[in-house]
Amino acid sequence: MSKTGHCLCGAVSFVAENVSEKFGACHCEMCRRWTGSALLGVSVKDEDLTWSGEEHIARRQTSSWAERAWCGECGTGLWFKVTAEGKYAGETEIPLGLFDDPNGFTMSNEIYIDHKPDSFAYTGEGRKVMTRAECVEKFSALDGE
Amino acid sequence: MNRIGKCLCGAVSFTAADPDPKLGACHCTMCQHWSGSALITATVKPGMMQVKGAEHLTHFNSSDWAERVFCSKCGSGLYYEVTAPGAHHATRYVPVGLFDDTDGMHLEHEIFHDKRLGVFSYAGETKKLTEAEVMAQFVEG
Repeated sequence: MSKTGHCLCGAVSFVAENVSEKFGACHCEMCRRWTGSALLGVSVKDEDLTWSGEEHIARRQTSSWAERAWCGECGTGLWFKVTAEGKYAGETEIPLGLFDDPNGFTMSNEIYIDHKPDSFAYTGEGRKVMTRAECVEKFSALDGE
Repeated sequence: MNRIGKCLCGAVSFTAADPDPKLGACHCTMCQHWSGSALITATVKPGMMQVKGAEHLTHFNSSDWAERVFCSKCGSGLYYEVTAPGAHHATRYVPVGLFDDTDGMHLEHEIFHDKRLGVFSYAGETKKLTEAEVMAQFVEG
């Protein structure tokens, strides 16, 4: 599935190919502070993304394995991308709200659930829910490989 | 009650006096883009928020009546502030995720509910207002 999207001010836009129909919610402290609630992200491979307005994109290495990028004009978060080598290299999460057509997606996982603030919650069933410890175990390959 | 918070990278931190524990979620398309989902905030009255690291803030005028302010070092949204004159002038809406501790806060209302992304929803009973209902309130206010 091919999808388009853009930031709030329109300075940065993208075309994404092979877009997953699933999205995940991350409640880790970094995603919480970055988004103001939780990162609802749609997975796209780095090589399937074409960005316009590159000169407006700001980025920061927020951990030893990933970077986050945002529009320097309006502050819209653009992506979380795994920069570490290994099987997750280039995996990119695009915030759900950027897509021009956000229909047809399903929340398939909710991670760092034990770090979620009590002040809000998502409804729904059928998604995989993981604690921080379970995530660390699953993604430990990021450090090791 | 004072509540403290900071952005992802810590370049900007703040103390907010008496933020409203009754949180609101905004589903307007601007907030959808800015937050990536919906913008859940606590309302902070004018002059009640002290910011450290303000030199790292970038101000973006997103409409004739408000600006959105974010950390230029990490992109975290710090607040939405009403810039237009009137009853809401200088009121800030601070994303709940910035607060170190949200004990006692809960999602109380959702605005622009008719514009929401259809693929997720928040748990609990919330008061829901459409775009038309919100605009009518602000015109009166």
